[in-house]
Amino acid sequence: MSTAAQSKNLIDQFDPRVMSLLSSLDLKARYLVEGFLNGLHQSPFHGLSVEFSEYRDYQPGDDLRHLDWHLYARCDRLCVKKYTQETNVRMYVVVDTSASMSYHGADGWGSKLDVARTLAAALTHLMLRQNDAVGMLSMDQGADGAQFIRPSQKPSQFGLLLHHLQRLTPAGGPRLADLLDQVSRLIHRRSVVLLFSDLLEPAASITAPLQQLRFHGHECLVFQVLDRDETEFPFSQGSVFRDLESGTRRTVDPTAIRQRYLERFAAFMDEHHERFRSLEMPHCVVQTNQDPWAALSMFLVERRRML
Amino acid sequence: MSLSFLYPLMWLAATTAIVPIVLHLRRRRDSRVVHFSAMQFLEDQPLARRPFISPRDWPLLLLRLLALLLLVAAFALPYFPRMRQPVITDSRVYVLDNTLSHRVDGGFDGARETIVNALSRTDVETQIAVVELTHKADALVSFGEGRDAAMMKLQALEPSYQRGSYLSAFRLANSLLQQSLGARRHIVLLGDSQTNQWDGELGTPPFLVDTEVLLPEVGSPTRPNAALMDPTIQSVPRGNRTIVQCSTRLFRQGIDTDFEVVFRSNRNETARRQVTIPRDADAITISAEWEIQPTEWVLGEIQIEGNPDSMPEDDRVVFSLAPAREGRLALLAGSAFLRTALSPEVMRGRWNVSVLDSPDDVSAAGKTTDFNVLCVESNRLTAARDFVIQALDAGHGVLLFVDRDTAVAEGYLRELGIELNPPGPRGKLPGFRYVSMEHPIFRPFRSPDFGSLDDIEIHHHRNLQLTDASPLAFSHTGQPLIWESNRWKGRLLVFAFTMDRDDTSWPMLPTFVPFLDKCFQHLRRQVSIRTHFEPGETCIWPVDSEEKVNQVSLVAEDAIPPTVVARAEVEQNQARLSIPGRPGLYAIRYDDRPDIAGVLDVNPPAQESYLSYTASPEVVATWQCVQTAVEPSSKSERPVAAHSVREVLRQRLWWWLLLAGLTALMLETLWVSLRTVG
Repeated sequence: MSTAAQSKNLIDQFDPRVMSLLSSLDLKARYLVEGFLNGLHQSPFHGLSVEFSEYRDYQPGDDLRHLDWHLYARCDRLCVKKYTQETNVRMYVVVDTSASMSYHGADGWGSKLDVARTLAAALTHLMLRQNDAVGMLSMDQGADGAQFIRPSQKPSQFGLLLHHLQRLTPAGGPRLADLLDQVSRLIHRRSVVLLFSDLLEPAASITAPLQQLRFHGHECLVFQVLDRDETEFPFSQGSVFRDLESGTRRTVDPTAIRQRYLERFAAFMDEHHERFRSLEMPHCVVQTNQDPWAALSMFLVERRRML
Repeated sequence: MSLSFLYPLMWLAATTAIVPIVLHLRRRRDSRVVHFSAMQFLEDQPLARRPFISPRDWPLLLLRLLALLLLVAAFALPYFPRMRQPVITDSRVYVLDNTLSHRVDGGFDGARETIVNALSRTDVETQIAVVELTHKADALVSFGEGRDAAMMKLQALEPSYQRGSYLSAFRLANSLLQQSLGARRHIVLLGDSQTNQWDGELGTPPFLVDTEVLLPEVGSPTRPNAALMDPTIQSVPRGNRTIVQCSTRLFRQGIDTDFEVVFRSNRNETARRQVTIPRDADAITISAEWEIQPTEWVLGEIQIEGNPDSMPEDDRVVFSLAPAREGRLALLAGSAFLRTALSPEVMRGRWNVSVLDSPDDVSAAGKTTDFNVLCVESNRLTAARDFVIQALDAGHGVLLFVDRDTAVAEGYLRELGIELNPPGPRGKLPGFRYVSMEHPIFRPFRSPDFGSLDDIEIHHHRNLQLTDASPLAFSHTGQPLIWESNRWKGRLLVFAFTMDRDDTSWPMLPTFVPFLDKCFQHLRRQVSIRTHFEPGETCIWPVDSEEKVNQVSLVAEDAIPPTVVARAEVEQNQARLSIPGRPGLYAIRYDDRPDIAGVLDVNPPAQESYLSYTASPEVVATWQCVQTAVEPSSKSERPVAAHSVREVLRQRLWWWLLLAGLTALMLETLWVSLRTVG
């Protein structure tokens, strides 16, 4: 399938109403990457894309470099220029492609990876529209390393990312820790990392990489994609459960084990919540049976409110 | 009964059964297995046993495997072999005597039945072959030939009228045994063991090595029989009529002495004879004569009627006589009797006589050579010496009467190989004392109706001595009176006397003219064509190139209507015809021409009529020899040949397997189609 066709597949999924809603939103980086936001911080990089915003009267103490002398000459009025300098944010879409992401429950509109792809594509579109550079990183199934796409804000970047998102194939065992290590290794400048995963891995294995990311100054937004079968364990018939990643088979009586499963799952989720809270990483749980746009909108609204 | 396969290697194709098995295994689907991603929350649950790798759709897989195996089995050609692999121990050749004499008392039918029973009842360890003896030995059934086919061949056999040699049959049987598999070899003769079939074979060196010969049991050493044999016929001019003299020999053995013999000519009875054979004689000659048209063919038969005997097939003989063809005769004689006897009034239609009186006549005749026979008196040799020699060199016949014993004549005669001795006494002397009655010129005298040689008086004759000549008649003093010389290309008959009253009284006798005609017929140069045959022989029929004949046909004149029984293409001016196996008269016809070119007389072999048998012919012992004892060769352990494809196919087991395999394939196709539709 050509890049254009793949892009169209994902684009076709975009509801126009959702697109209009998203367009009114913008994803603001909470932490500065380079420069400042809304004039809160001075950008050390002069000449970068600063934008004149408005005049205000001169107040004693203002930087004389910002006096508009031409205006004074014309109007004999002392005014200071206000600038809005929006530093280009680098964003990375990081998608977990372990085998567990291929799970497709009966109620889901797609597999977890499908949902992750859709969300990643939507956010990519949003960010590129904001003139932010977007790149991508995922674990390559065949090679030992990661598949890395350098961030760019060119219009063709969207099609390129959509093409790669479409080619993602879930396979293999737990690899989130390796993926996060790759992020730390490959991303040097402070960036915004959008992580799409089900996080169904031992918590201890991913804590350290996440801390590493935070230490390096990256802002990490975590989208946890789960299926209803995982969150509610609705099975009723005794069956043999086979792990998608390890192939381990276990004989399960769902009715007898459900309560215990839910308790464990709840504890697991609480642990994640606590972790992300401590790391100050936004954590959004999206289920495959939910409307992804609605979930995304809720997230962005909440985030804006927080900022 | 165990099952075997003619092509067991075909079973290698059964390895393709792995294909459907693999396909079904790949498509297997775990039932009631949930592929789950959050297994870490179920870690305290027991591990499931890995199910037996069972393919999907067991029934369909089994059906496909069944179809595959059935087809492979069909192509491997299964069959039910005999209980055990037989080993050939005995090889046996039956010599089936299919000669005329074996018909007696149903001997041939019984022998054939014996062989059929042997084929059907003998076990497979014994090889059987059959040699049929007719006029030649023929391998009717070979070793290794199917017994069903062999029995069919035997049932199709017809008794023959032919005669053959036991020696040839035994030689053929021996050659068959040389290529047989059994350690023990037998030749079983199923015949009448006729004595004269063993006679004459004593000088044969041994050729039967370690071969047992089983001879038939002989009940009575002889059987009563009467037979006709050796028919002869000749035409004799009597005045202006042509008379046929027909004779045959009647043989009897252990049977009554009185017979009734009927002569028929051109389907008309011409004579009937009541014959009594003297008790001390085994055979007599019977003859009859009747008038014929000299320009027509004479086709007839002689038959014994009313006397049943052991072998009625030899109670009939056939004969034929070609129409007379006028010959051309040159006469150099002054004898009035000769001139009168050879005048056109006497010899009309038989001889066109040219009297050569003058030397010019002789010279002219010598240039044209337009004659068949020359009749000359020795006194004419002075003028016709060269002419006579020229005629003999050209192949024309010469009848020479030596009338003078002068010195001049002596010299000319010497050139012809004739020496004159001093003459004998004169006077009325009896004629002949010893005569070669088998010679054609004297054969008519075998019939008493023709005349008697005793009536002939020889008054005077010359004493001749010939080289390269055979005397045909002797005087009472032992002097040769008539010679036949073969020194020349043409035949030369020399008479030591002339046909004058001074020398003989013969011209006064009614046999004079017929005798002259016989002499001239004998001297006439014509291609000798054999027309008397026995059944089964081969006739080489010469065809004159001027006739422009492409094909020669043999037509059975006895049949109503006449039927073509053989055809042959003419190659190098001759046609090779196979004489039919049934006695009778067979006409030679060219292409589609209606006229008869010749007639072949096919009569039963005379030797077959002598029904004397030998139980233990000593000649058989001379044919056999025994080698020193040796270990049985491995050839005796050789098993029979593997089942032939034909026998295996006949069992049809492969057919049913093929049908079942195709049915299974159809069911599989139907099953899959229904599932797809469903």
